[in-house]
Amino acid sequence: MLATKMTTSARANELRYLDPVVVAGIGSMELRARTIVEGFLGGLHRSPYKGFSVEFSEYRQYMPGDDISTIDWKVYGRSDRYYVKKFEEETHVDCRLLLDVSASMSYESKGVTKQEYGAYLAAALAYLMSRQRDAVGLVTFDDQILSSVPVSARPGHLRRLLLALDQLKLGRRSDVSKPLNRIADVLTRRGMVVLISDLLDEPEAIVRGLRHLRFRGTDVIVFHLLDHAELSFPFERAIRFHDLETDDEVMAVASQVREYYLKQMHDLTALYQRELCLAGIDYCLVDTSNPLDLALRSYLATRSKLF
Amino acid sequence: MSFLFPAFLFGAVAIAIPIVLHLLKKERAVRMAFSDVRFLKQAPVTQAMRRRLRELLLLALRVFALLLLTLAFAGPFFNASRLDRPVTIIAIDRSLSMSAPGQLDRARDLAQSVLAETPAGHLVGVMAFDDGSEVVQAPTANRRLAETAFERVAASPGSTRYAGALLAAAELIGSSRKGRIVVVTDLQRVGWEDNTNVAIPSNVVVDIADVGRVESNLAVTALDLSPVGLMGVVLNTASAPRESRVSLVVDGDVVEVREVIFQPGSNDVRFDTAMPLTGVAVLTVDDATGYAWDDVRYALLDSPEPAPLLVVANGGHLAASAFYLERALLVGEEFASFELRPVSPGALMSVAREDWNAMVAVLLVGTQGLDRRGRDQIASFVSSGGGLLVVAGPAVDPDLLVDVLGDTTVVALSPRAAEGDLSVVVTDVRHPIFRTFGELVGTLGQVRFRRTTRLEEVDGTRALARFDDGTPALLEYRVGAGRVLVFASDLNNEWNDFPRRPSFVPFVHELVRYLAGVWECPREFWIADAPDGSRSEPGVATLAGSGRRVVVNVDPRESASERLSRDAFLVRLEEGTIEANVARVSDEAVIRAAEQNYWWHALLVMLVLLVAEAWLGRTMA
Repeated sequence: MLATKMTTSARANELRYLDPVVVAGIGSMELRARTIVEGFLGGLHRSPYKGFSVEFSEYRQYMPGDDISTIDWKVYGRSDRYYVKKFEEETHVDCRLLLDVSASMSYESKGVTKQEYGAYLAAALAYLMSRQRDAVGLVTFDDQILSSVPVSARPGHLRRLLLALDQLKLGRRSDVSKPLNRIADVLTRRGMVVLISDLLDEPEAIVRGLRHLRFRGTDVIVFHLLDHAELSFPFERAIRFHDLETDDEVMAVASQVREYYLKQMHDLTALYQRELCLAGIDYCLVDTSNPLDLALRSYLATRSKLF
Repeated sequence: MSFLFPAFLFGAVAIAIPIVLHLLKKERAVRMAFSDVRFLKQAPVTQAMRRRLRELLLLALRVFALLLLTLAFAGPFFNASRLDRPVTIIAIDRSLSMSAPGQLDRARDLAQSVLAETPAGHLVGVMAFDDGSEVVQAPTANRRLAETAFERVAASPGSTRYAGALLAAAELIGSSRKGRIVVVTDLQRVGWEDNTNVAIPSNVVVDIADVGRVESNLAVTALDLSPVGLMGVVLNTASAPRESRVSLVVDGDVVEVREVIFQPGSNDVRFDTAMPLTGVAVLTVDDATGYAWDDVRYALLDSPEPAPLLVVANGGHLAASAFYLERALLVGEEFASFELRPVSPGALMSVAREDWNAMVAVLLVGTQGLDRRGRDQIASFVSSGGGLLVVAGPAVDPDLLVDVLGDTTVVALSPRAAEGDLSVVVTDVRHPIFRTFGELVGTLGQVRFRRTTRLEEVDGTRALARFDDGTPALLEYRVGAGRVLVFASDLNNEWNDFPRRPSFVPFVHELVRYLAGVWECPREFWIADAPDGSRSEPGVATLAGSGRRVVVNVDPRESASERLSRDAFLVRLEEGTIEANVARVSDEAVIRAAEQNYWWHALLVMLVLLVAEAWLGRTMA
């Protein structure tokens, strides 16, 4: 019972560091990334992802939850201790993180902007990828590419990437398709592209851009980040809505337009779901008020399909 | 448009409330950053416009509802002359003479005829009048209301007075519209008995609807005590003798019933039967075809209440210094005209204020112990209208008496012994004190005065009688509202032999009656003059306050059958104007507002607006 309680308590503590609000309170992006990933992985009782390991060493000590089949019984016979076999990665993937930093990503309703959430997610993904010895790079964009960290697996590269995430600057208007097409044009190897964006742009252009990437043989994951308020439109009164990108203003009585808005938003996400699925692109709608583990799970699921 | 209560219009400032709320509501829309307003751009444009329209409509509904509410309370009406409709007032005579069987029915029939002839555009009002007037139905366009008003008119025992009724009807019409007064009456002459004309405005026309006369009426017009019983008077207005029965009832007991043939005109009916000393006598004549209420007359058999006199005598004992005066004033014993209340001069302060107020006169026959406060009380009594008789005899100290009335007229007094007996001569035989004596005033000269008090006349005094040496025997002068009489000798058989003379009692009575002035104690009232709270029909009443019993009878003049011709009636009317006064204008305004009822329409429309507002607000929620 005590062990269970301690386990439950420890787990709750780990889950807490998946809460984006809590993550926001952590000092550096590197620390955030590590906290997120370790919190996430710590919850995996059974690693479903063969080919992944927590520590990269010849042998490592057995940890509860490890697959029993990985225990090296010979070592046990010699040392009277449980060790699991080291699993070597047999493949490496070039992963590119595309992070939308347009002005619309600065919206927040619960304390964490979409850009911040996207940055945490990108950091966690980069950390995870780096631990898997995948090469990871970063591209930030609005209507053009603003910054780029090339794909690499070298030691120290992760830190550079995380530093770039820590120093993000907010962009201007969105044009997701443009950087997608540019990236698609420069891709030389198969790899993975993770797009983190609110996709508040022309859906057809975005889908075309993503198809362009897919056509080049790249695996694509789309994390569609939307704030909870964008998804539920919880407003009631008359509000003068001010567009963060275009400076347009619309006066509307929220309770009167809610139904229409939610329908449009639903249609939009459904369109992305449908079109991207048809294109073989993984689509994950992320509510930025939710913990980050859902997004991470989606990534791992996609990553595991590669092998 | 005018308003009965224009102050309520200030309530219209309340329409600022929904307007302010509307503006405040608009201003409270917050500005909020949002990631993408594309969806919002598409949806709310049309809805916002629609909602804005609805909000404006809601605002308009609320504002107009408030406006209508204030309008309704303000009592709107149109006062412009072009909207004034002519008015016909049907004034129905309900006086005693209309109480004969069938008279009022004929009056109602005539009123119906007048109503039927009145043009459709006229408003019609109904009044009933006798010696006063009453609006039975205010001018209205609803003819049915006028018809029902006729039924509410009932005969009364009041007298006929045309002047007041016409003026009231003219005021009801007002000065700004055409009007017509139709007087439905039996044209009794007594209705104009005060011989004054009445000014009627030029916009008003007066017509007569003659009900006709009652052919025969028997009326008891008088009933008085006689030396041997009772004397009644019965009036027969017919041109031929009529036989009828009269009955006399005293305190509920039938004293006598007799059949009498009444000649045309007044007939005396004597009842030579000793009447009790107290009670109520009722004389009734049977007359089924004549007026009601004048067939009976009441009379009080009670003696009049004695007038209270304060007698200031040394020691408070009348036997010593006012024996003869007392006996003279109390002639008749328990039915004496006066009630004496003796008090010693030093005890005047013990007389209560209400007792002073009840006294009709003070008789000062002694001054032993009379102090300053006592003198002040006497002075106050006289100044406020009381009468004072100073009997300047041996019990009166002239020095004390000199200033008995303070700073008022001073009369010098000094007793003296006459050289030989003096007699008195009346200097003003027409004075009320001596008028009753008539030819016997000379008997006063038979009195022999051995001693007198010398009175010196000063300005403001008048000698009513003198001794034959020329000095005043009886002085009179006024003090404030009261009067003072000073008799220059005693009335107690000490200085003269007056009490032993036949003229003593009437002289003393007339002195005191004169001092009592017009102290009245009416025992009979006409119905129109009856005090508030007494009867409104013939009978016996008890006056509130005094508790005194009185009788109330119809005015006997109303039983007279003399009639006026139409021309004689109308000639009493003069063209004049009715002075506008705020109250009358206000009454007109009230009548117009009640006729037009726009306040009711305003409330109805307001109600409709509120229902619409509630429905619209609900659909917008």
